[in-house]
Amino acid sequence: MGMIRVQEICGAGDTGPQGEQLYNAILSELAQHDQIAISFAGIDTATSSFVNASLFRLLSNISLDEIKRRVKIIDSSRQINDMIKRRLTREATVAA
Amino acid sequence: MINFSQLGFIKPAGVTFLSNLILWLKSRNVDVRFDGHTGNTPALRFLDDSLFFQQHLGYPLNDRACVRSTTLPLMNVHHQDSFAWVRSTLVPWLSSALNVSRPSLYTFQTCVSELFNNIKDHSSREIGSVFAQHFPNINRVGIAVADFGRGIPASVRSVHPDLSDNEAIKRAVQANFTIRSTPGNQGVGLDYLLQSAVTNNGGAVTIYSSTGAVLFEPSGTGIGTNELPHVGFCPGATIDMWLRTDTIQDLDEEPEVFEWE
Repeated sequence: MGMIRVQEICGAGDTGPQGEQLYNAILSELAQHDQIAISFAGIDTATSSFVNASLFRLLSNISLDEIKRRVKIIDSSRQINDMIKRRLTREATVAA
Repeated sequence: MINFSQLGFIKPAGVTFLSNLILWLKSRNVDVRFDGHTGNTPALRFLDDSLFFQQHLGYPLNDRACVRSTTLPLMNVHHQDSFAWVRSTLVPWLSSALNVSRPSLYTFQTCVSELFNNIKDHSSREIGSVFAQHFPNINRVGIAVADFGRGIPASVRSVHPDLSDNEAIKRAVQANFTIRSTPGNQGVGLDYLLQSAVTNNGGAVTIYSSTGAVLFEPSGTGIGTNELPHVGFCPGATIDMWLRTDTIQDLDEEPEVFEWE
């Protein structure tokens, strides 16, 4: 399983450009591994801009079901979890 | 000339609004002068203790003016410094004032960060004026953020030219509404703010921009809107968050296990 440490990739989860850095890292890691873990250790919060530009943008590459199967979120705060679910799961539900 | 002689009370949003108005006028080379500010009224002492006169005159009115423990003084924060300021100044102050852990405030930390991202996305000047005040006697904390942008109505009317100022504000807070879609900006920042501050916390948010002013507050299980009449003109936008402190859960520092729904 591949591993991405958000703090090493982009330092924080505050902005769209930081999210784009994570998005590129995720694409690279998914190209090499069937499953990856994204660790938010050291990251306290994630804005919608950050999640939009990183994980939400993945929906243009792979389906939500495939994201759920291949991407594991670890070491994350309640706020980060809520923002990711809000942007991905609920958005996909609305779109359906 | 800004006359303070009739000022009886000023809320956090009033402090940022007034400060922002002065900076906005000065940015247009307007000679701004104060009058009626030498009295010793509670409102003037509050403004003085909030560093308002220090910021705009270069000195406090009273040598004994000092920041109150319930006040986070007026600051102008650039977008590039905003996230560090939120973490190193706003959240520690809130955590101490409300006697809750920092993780308990992550949602509100994010709300303020969302506002600074909005300023970056929609304002030519990436500066926000911020002020916060704790009201322990009524279990409320007010956080106000104001910017110098062209204002929400002008931005929204670039795609919906027939909307009034208040209608434009209501449209701007709808999830997925944006006039400038980028990978990061998908138009959900203000929706997140309202869901967090109004639906989950039970507080209220008022957005002032141009001649519009809309109060968002709990209504049944959703969010009610009230258009505020006769508020005058607000350059840019002023966001006034009015949070309940008695509904904030004291959370521990432990990460939460993530599970896809």
